[in-house]
Amino acid sequence: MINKYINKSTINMEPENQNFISSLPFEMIGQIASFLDHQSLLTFSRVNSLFYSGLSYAVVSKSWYQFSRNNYYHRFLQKDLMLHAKHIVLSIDWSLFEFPCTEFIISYLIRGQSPSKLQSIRLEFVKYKEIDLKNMLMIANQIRVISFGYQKINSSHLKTVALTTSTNLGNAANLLTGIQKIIVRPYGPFTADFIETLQTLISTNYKNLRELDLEGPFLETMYVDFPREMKLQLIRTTTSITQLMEEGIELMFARTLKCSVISENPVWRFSPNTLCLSINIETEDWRPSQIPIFFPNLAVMELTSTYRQTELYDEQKVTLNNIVALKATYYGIKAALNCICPNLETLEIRPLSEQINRHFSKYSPKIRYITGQDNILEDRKKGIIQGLIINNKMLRSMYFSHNATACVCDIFEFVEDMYEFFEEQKYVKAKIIFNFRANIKRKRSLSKIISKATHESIQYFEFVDSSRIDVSNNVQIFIKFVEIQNIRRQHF
Amino acid sequence: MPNIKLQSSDGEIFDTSLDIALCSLTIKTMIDDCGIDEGEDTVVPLPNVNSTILRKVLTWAQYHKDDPQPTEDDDSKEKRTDDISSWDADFLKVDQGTLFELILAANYLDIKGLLDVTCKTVANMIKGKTPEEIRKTFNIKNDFTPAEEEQVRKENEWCEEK
Repeated sequence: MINKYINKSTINMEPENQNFISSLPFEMIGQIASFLDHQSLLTFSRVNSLFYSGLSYAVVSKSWYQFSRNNYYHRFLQKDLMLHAKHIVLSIDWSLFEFPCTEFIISYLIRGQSPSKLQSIRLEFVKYKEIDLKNMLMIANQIRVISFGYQKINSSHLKTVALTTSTNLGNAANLLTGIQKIIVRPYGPFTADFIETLQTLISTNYKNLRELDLEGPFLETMYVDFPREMKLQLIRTTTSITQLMEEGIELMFARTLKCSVISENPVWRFSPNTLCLSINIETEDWRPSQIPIFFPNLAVMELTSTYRQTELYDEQKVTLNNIVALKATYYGIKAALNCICPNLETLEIRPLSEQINRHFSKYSPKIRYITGQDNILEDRKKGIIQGLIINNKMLRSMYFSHNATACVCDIFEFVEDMYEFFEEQKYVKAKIIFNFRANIKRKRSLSKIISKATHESIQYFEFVDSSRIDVSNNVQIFIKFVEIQNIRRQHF
Repeated sequence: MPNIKLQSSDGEIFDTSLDIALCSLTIKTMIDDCGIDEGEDTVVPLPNVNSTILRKVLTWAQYHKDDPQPTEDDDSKEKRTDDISSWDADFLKVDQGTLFELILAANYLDIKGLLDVTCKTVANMIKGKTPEEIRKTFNIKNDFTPAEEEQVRKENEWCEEK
C-alpha cells in the first residue's frame, strides 16, 4: 500500500446542485460520521435536522477517548447529540477507561434515552474482560439488548443468554437471575472462564431455565454440573446428551427434545410428556416402535438421519395415533415410512417419491398441509405432486420451495403444466403455494409465470429471497407481481 | 484464476477475473449461496450498480486485489482519515454524484476497503468546516429555525474546542 498522504483540499469540494449526502441511508451517514473527530461530529449535527436527530446509528469511534483524557466525556454525554439514536455502537478500547467512566456512559445512555427509541447498544471493545460487567448490567435495566461483540447479554429483563467460547461474564453472571434460555455455541476449546460463566448461569437460574440450546463441535468436551432439579422444556443439542442423562436431569417437563438419539437413551424414560421430538438417528439400534413406549404422548415428530440405515426397521409398521405433524428428510424417511399416522395433518418431507405418495395417501387420509423442498421440476416429481393432490382429499395447502439452479424455461413449463392439471381437476380445493427462491436471473420470466397464476386453485405464489443478497432494489420487479390479482408477496 | 461475468444495472457485461470480483463479499455470497459455479458461463446481475460505477469499482478492486483482507483488529483501530493513499486520492477525484454512488456501491457489494476510503473522503470534506460551509459543499438546505439553530449551538457550546 502506498502511504503518501493527501491534502484534503485536493478533493473536489465544489458545491454541486444536488444534495447527494442526504439521500444516503442512515447507516452510511453513520459510517461517515465514524471517521469524524468529536468536533466535526458536533458541527455535522448542526448542519440540518436530519443529521441532528436522524443519526440513528451513532457510531462513536475511539476518538472519544480524547474526551476522557480531557475530562470532557461526562459533560459531552450529558448533552448528547444522539438523543434520538435507536442503535448505538461504542467502539472504544474500554480497557483504557477507568470503570466509573464506563459506568457513567452506560448509565447516561440508559437514563437519557427513551427505551422505545434506543433498542440496542453494541459495545465493541478491545479488552472487555477487564471491565466489570456486573455494575454495567445492574444499571442496564431498560435496554432490551446489549451486545458485547459477538456475545449477547440482556439485563434483568433478560430471558436469553447466548454464550460463545470466549464469553466471560465474571461476577455479572450472578446477577442474571431471570434466565430462561441458554444458548451455547462453542466453536473453540473452552476456557475455564467460560465454563465458570456457564456454570454460574445454570446454578443461578436452574429453577427458571426452560431451554438449553447447545451446538458446536467442542460440546462433547464440556463438563458442567447440571442441578438435578432442572425442569427443562426444550433441549436442543447436536450431540448426545449423555451428560445430562448421567446427571439424572428431570425432564418430565421437557415438551420438546431436539437431539441425536441412541436407542438405550435413558433420557427417554424421563420424558413421557414430551410432545415434540426432533431426532437425528445415528445408530442402528433405533426403531420407530420405541416411540410409543418412550413417548406415548408425542404429537410432533421430526426424523433426520446422517446414517444410512438399511436393515434396522421393524417388519411391522408402527401405528402412532397421536402424531399430527411429521417431518422427515433423506434417510429419516425410511423411519417415517415405517410409521402409520392415521391422524397426521401436516407433512413435511423431502425428497419426494412414489413410495411417499402411496404411503401417506393410504395411511394418512387427514393430511391438510404438505410442504416439500425439492427439485419439483422433474416429470416424476410433477406426477407425485399431482398424485398427492388427488389422493389427499382433505388437502388444503401445498407448499413447495424450489431452489435456484433450474433454468427459467423449466419453471415456466412446470407451472404451465400444473396450471393445465388444475384446470382438469376442478374439484381440487387446495391452496397451492410455490415458493420459488428469488433468483435475479429468473426474474424476467417470473412475470410470465405469474400471469398464469390466475386459476382459483393457485391462490398465491410466494416469493422468498432467503439468500443474503440485498433485495431492496428489486422491489420494483415484485411490485409488478403483487399488482396481479391473487398474488401475495411476503418476506421482503 | 477463471473469469466471471458481471452485469450492471444498465445491462453492460463485465468479463472480469474471479479474484477481482471476489473482493466483493456480496458477489462471493451470491456465488456461494446461489449455486453459481466457477467456470459456469453465468452472468451475475448487479442491479444496484450502473456500468460507470461498476467500471470504477472494478478498477479499484484490480488495484487493491493483493491488499490483505481487513481483520477484526482493523475495526478496533483508531479511525484515521489521513491515511488515504495517493492512488486512492487520485482515483476519488470525482464529482460528488460519483463519489456517493461509489459509497452506495461499496456498501451494496460489501467491499470494506472501498467503503472506508470513500467515507474517509467524505469525512475529509466535512472536517474543519463550519455548518454553513458543509451545507454549501453538499448543497444541504438548512431546515433549522433560527431558534432551533441557537438551541443546538448552545447545547454543543460547552464542548466546542476553544
